[in-house]
Amino acid sequence: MNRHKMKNERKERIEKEVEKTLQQLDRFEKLESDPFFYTRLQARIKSTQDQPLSSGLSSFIGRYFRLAFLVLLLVLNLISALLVFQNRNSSSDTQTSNISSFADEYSINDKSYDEYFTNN
Amino acid sequence: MNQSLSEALYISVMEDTELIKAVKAGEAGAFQTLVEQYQDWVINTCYGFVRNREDARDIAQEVFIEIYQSLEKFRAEAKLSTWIYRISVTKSLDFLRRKNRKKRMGQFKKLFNIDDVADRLEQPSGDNPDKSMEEMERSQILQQAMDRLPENQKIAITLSKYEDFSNKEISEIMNTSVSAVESLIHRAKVNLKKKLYKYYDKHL
Repeated sequence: MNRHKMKNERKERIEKEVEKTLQQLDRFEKLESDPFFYTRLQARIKSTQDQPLSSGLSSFIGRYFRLAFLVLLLVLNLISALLVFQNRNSSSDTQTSNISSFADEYSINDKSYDEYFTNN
Repeated sequence: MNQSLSEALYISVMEDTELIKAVKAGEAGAFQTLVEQYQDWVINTCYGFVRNREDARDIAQEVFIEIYQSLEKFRAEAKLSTWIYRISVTKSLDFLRRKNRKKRMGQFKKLFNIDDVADRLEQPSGDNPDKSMEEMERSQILQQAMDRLPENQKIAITLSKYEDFSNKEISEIMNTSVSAVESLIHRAKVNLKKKLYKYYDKHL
């Protein structure tokens, strides 16, 4: 009974805190006017206009360079993946031919092995 | 400059059109008039999202630079105020995304013991000397909860509660219907309550 009462009291306390915090939404203080806002804005607009063409050009080149580098990396990855895949295929082919030539040399191919067991 | 917010929002379309025409024609003082007419509301809209005076003023400057550079593209059939507030919201959210990315990078750097002086010099987000400690703490808790809301709910409740925009004005800024805005605000309130309850349940 006591435990239940304590739980309820805690719930009420939390709800009170939530309400108090939510009240902050209605107490939004406005910022006062900035008398130098337009002067600073003018300076910023002027600085963006005065920006040398080279900086714009370099950012343009930089952007394309990054893209080209990404494409190059992708192509290199694809080529290396293809090479690895091809090598694996050819190496498995040579491996099979090596095994069969070894089996022929010592006459231990599947057929002779079967014959050995049926004779016995 | 002593106009109320609602007065400013009902600036007639005719006045807007004339102002835009004057700015486009490069008339002396026209852009300054536009800036002075909207600067306080733009700064406060940004402040509602970022909750830092200096950041809000910086973003507001970016908003007006964007307006200056793209006024040529502005279509006269749209309301100038709606267009300006839309840019303000977008710029503020972009800033928050950049900030969060920086924070995540900072945590990553910390993980690998890469120390960055810029990270150490980062300003705290809340900054109002007039508020009591308790109020400041509550504001920060509320802001953290707001930051975790889905983006459209956050926009709707920020514009509604902090900027006193009507649901119709918010629907114009967010390019959606009034009923969708009502639903967003309702869901935002419910979510905020849930998040705050969870917070206090953990910290009380």
